[in-house]
Amino acid sequence: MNAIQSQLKALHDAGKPVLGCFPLYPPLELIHSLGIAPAVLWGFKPYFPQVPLADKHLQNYACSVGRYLVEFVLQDAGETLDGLLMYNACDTLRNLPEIIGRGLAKDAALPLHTFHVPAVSMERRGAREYLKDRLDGLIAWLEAAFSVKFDPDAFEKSVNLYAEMRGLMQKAQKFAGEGKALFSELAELCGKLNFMLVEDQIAALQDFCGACEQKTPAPAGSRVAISGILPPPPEILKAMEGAGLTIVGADLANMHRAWAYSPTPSKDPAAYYADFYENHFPCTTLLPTADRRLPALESMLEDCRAGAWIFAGEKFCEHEYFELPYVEKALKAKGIGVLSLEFSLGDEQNLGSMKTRIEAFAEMIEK
Amino acid sequence: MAQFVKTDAGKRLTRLITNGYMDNIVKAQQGAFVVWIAIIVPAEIFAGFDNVIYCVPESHSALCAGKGVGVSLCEKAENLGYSMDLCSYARIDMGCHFNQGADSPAGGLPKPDLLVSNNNNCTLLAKWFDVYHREWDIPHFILDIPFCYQPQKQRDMEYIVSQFQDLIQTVEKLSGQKFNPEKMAQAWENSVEAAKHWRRFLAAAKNKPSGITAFDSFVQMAPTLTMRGTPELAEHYRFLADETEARVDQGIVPAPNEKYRLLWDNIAPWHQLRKMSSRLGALDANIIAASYTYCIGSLEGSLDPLEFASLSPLEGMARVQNFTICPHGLQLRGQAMKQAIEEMDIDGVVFASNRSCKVYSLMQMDQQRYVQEELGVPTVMIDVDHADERKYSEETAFVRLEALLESIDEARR
Ligand code: SF4
Ligand code: SF4
Repeated sequence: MNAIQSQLKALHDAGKPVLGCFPLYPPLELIHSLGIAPAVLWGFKPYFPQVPLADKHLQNYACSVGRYLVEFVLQDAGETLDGLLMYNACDTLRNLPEIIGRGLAKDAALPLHTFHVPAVSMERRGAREYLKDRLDGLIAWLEAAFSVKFDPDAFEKSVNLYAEMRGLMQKAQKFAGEGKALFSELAELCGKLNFMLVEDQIAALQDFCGACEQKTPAPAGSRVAISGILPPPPEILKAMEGAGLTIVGADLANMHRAWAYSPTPSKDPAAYYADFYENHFPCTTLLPTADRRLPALESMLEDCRAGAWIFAGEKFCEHEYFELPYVEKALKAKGIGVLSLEFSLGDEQNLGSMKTRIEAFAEMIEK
Repeated sequence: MAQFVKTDAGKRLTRLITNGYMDNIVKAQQGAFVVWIAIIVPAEIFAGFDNVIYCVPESHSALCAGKGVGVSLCEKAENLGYSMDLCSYARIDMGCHFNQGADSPAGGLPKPDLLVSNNNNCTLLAKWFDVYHREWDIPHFILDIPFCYQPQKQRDMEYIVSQFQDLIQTVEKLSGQKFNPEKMAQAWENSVEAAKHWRRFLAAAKNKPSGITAFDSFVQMAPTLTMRGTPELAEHYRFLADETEARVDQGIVPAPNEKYRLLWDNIAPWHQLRKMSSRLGALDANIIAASYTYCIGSLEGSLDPLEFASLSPLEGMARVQNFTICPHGLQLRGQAMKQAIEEMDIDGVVFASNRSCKVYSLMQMDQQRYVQEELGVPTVMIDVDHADERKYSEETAFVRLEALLESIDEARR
């Protein structure tokens, strides 16, 4: 059993049903409010050098996030997960529920729900009502599958906990930017938090921030922001830091993109999630945020005074790659140094050349 | 030997397609409001306006690939920084239109006034149209169409209809033209009529030997995308079906020595149509049907003809939003494929694994297992990018295809 499974098993054994949620931005608050532990199914790279079970179901041109997800769920086979929730974040993910269903042995079948988030602005005709219907359906499914009951007060409480957690995340990133923590440490922590209850996330972040407060800032290197779906592998982050780069902004789907916005607290899931998806920090996977994406990224770079930008591309992620040429061009035009890296499953052999490119980039932007 | 025989319907098609592209260029020059759409966007809506025309970049990319300029256009997009892993339709299109229609056999598409995409075939398409939205500062209207794991639900249909109404208002506002629902209803009738004849054409594959090849259907499907809603489309498909039935009656078939009846799963290999069909023909094999074209004129998960009597035109158009393979799930795909295998007496299935089109391809390994193990039909998987020839090896593909024919022989012993 790997470290993630152990974390989840502890929750499961403590009597909490664990709901494996497909990335990227599932309705965590709602799930938590029903006494279910949500775990977003990503960040598995360090635990699976290979994905033999997923390889029986997916061609090798699926992104690594999808392949790791399938591997995890099939290996786990219901040992720690009690159910699965998928939403339509991208083309790859929407193909997976039935594949997983077929991959799991009949006696390990998991309850699975698919949830459609409107991929248009909530201001568009019918979008809010449709989202509300989907949420009602999700609540009904959760209630039936886990014998729980929705409670608006509990929902609001969960909303507030998540808002507190996001605030702490932002604080922690700020400390990393000030040189009071390494970004690689924060990224590692984030990977672990994903498989904890929000209450424990808050406690862990308070500890992290508390420790940062005691520290004197390390001398700052060249200030860099990073974009992508997930942080690069730990050895690459360490190579960046070793080359004198200070990662001051994390426009990553599991970091800043997920924490930057907290909706107005509410007891009503429909109102809350309409706000959540409409005003979310722009992400390449959230179609209605497309027009806000470059301005948001530029102002993030400005706020964290980053003079350089690293794109950590997830190979085969079309959402990210359609935007790359445009973003690169716009940032270069502003005099921002740009480095584009690509990560995929089994890219260990490329890490050496990547490190060389990072060192060259660090030297270039320092001049 | 299966081969391309230019039938009268084939000659007619060439004229229709050429005229269609030319007409669009001329009408745009004369001030028509130009909409670029994703293939399943209900084109019949635009027929409700006096002077709105639509163009279909995906279809244009297929044309470019078929005419042999796919790779050079892909490279143009890659030189602009677009990853080689992006769908080759998108790369061809961007390579073409960021170079003023360069290399297009149709002279490119007239610049759009509005982009209309949807996320049901793929979300990628919305990202692709967003590129133009940013570069050319043109409005982009996205239709949000829920994916179907089960047949489309009534609530989903209502949601889609409400978005169509929104689209109509958007076009009215941007074009300054008034929408006429009766004209749209007539266009919808034309589409339903065309679909009826299309299914009659496809039914020729049930004949032994088959009256058509899947390659015929690949070529003939083009106006379904670019001329939907027109009386000319209905008339063309009536002509095509009549001619095909007459040829079958006269014993004129593309592969008289047909020994292997195969089914193709994925988008057409546009750059290989002639080569692949004649090389298979030399082996007495005929790909007689394809999931890519047998879905036209039916609903997700079935090959049965469309039945719309109880639906309004907008509801009917909403109801067909999931008919192509990509917007529906494995169970439904399996259901339709089973029906196809049974109705057409298929001997083997060719799964064309297509790096460009993940939405089509990333269920194929399970679908293949289902067909092979549960339906007991031999299968093979080959790598084919539908429009980027660099990602295809003819020799490797044929080694596998020949192995499939051997396993069919084996199963027959
Ligand atoms: S990395 Fe991209 S393609 Fe892969 S699951 Fe995430 S959003 Fe989808
Ligand atoms: S990915 Fe597939 S469905 Fe999407 S545009 Fe390309 S070929 Fe069409």
